[in-house]
Amino acid sequence: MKDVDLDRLLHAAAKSKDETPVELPFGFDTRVIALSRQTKNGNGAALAVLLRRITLFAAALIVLGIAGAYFEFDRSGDDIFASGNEFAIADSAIQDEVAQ
Amino acid sequence: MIFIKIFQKLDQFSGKVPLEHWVSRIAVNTCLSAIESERIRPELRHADLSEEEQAVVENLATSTEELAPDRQLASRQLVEHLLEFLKPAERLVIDLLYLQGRSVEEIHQITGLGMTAIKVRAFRARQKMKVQLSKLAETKS
Repeated sequence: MKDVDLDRLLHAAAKSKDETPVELPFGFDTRVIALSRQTKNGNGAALAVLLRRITLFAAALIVLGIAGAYFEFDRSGDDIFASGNEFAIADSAIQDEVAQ
Repeated sequence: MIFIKIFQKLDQFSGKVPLEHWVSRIAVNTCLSAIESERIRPELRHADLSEEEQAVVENLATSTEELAPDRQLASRQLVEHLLEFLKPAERLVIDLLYLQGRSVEEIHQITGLGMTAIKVRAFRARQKMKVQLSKLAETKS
């Protein structure tokens, strides 16, 4: 193949306009729009799932808070009773000493 | 090609990700597949050409006259095939110089390449294209 042949080829190619049709396939836009609408509905469902998760998380937090509060109250109750007993023992010992 | 792939795979779109992300992923994968297929089979065969393109090759090998106007589209497609075997920089130079008919000075202004570099790349690209064309003509005969 000679330079002249390549020049002929390139010359002919340059004359040809690139007429490749840049079009969407038939029905493409319709299907994309339909899917897009579906996706929007899907976003609504996703929002509902998110809300459900938030609610569950909040409920779990409330339960934990109640359990913690109950535990704390229970422990401080023991302290009160414990300090009351100590006071009673000390009072009893003092009274014994006074009686002797 | 990307649009066709998207169209064919629309039913596989789950809707869990945005459509734009899904489309861009398909586009990237399609381009990567095309590059990979070029790498796997880097030779252009005579059988890969359309009938019109084969006729252009035959015409180039047997005649010295200008190609007929009805062969221009096939010539363009044949050149597109040949351009696929060039490096991107060489492809750009051939496209600007011969297909768009720009001067070396214009290409220099557009690409920022030196005049000598443009001429060297054009020369090398032409050599490669001639080799490919010769192979095509030989495989036909």
